[in-house]
Amino acid sequence: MTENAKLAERFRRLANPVDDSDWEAVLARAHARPASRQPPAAHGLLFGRRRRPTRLLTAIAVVGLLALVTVLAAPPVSLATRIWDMFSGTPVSQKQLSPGDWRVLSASNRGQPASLGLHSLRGVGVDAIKLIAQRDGLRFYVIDRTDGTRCYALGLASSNRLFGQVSCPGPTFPSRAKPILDLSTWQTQPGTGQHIGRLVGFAADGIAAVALASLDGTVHDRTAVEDNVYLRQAPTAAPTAAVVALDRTGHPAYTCRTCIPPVPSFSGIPDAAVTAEKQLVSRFDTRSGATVSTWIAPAKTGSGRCYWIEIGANPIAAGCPPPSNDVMTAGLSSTGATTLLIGETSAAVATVRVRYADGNQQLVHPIQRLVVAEIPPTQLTPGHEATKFIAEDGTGKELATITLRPTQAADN
Amino acid sequence: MSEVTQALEELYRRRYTHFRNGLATLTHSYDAARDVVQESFARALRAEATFRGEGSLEAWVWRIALRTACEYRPNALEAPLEDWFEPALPEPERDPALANALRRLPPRKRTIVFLRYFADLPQSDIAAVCGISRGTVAASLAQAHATLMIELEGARTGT
Repeated sequence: MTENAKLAERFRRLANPVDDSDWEAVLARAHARPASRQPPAAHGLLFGRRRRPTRLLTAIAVVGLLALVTVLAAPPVSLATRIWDMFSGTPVSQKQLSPGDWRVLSASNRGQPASLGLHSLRGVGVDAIKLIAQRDGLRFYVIDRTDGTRCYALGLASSNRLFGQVSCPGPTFPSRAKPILDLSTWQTQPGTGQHIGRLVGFAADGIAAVALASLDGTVHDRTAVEDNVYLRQAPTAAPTAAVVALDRTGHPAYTCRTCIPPVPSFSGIPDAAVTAEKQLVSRFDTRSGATVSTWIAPAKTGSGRCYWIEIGANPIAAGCPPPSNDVMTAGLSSTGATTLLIGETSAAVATVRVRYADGNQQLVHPIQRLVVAEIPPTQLTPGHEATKFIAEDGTGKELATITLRPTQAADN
Repeated sequence: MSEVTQALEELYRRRYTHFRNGLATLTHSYDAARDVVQESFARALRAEATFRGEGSLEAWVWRIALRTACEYRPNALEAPLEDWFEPALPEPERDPALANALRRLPPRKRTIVFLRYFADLPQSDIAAVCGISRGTVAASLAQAHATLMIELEGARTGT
């Protein structure tokens, strides 16, 4: 007997042989009532075990309430219509991948760049790559990984590299809890709120449009979703509070406030951190004389960690992000007098190169995978502002890029 | 009685335990799995006009059954879409080593393993049910076999 046959036999021995089928009951159920989302009996998954008759009325009431809540709470987003095939598209041959793309895929897989000889999709944990849409010179890719998860990538059609930005959100997207994966670029100007540079991302079935919500709640810059993606190159230049996903009736199905990078209104260290084990990661003085300190501590739950950043004694940013496969997440945060680059990278990133519109560059080295650096005041005015964050490995190879101004990204 | 109704009845009578056992790995309870099977075939009967015969009838009913099982979750609205794919042996105490080894597999591979061995579905039907290629099913099963054998051997030798 082969090993596979032995395994099959082992499973077979565990199978329940009891035949408690009842076709007449199926017929009765089929003809008794229309299709329903509600479990038909007050036992099983809802309650885990059969209820005593004395509790039957309570159980029915709970079931009824759950049914009502289900109907009222269910967004009209048909996410379950295609279980594993949310995105369809054109297969991408591995021959189209540039050396930089291989390094990005490898870094997303194990956090380490691949050797140039390792050019097998499975070797970098990838099952297939699909091009699902192209908009305004930007291509949208879905990467099916061999571990069952998906990554999502953006890339310029004009570039010889496929991927300019890759995000691996894990199983949270697509879901009813998170029907969009927003990859927009953001900028914080001194004294104002968060401004969006480009509204872009992926959307689950059932999301018809994505829009921005202003600080006063006004929804604007409605952008249609087609082929599960959305793109608006230059949304209204107003402080933004949230990204809103709209269903086919125009109602908000999801409001994403966390899509916007940390704003400098934070006070207090994360409650989720084991602060007794906090560790100082870096400390430096800004040009205005303030001291910026970055701390990390283990998260109380899970395997992640928390970080917080202080100017003087005032916390300005904090978070406990879950472990991620992303090569780099980064954004700008300002308190008015000081503007900081704040980001997190994978272990493969040795340097983050900040490119400015006037050609200047700034190199920042991650410490404990955190990137915190002051953006010089001279680089905050129009024509001098940051345009790209480029993550590089120890050899200077580009692993990922975040583009802040797409019109200047053609040299990617 | 239509041909599809007759075929559904024949399928139900012939394959009931495979449906229930396969679904029990997703519902983690034979009672709940039985309910899902009953509801799934009832839905199939109500929707038989939409079966176009482009694939196997069993794969079509399995797709209905997976969606039904998904809806039966107590937190169907809140949990991430793919989080419900957390298949496990319905009675892990009967083979703890295998139950532990299975947990080492990603949920999607576990689902494919259970569809193959608990539901006794051929690879072509698994591919149709899951919306993936037959090659992916074969590769997933091969990888799962390798992982399971390593884990089981490790458990046996205590390494």
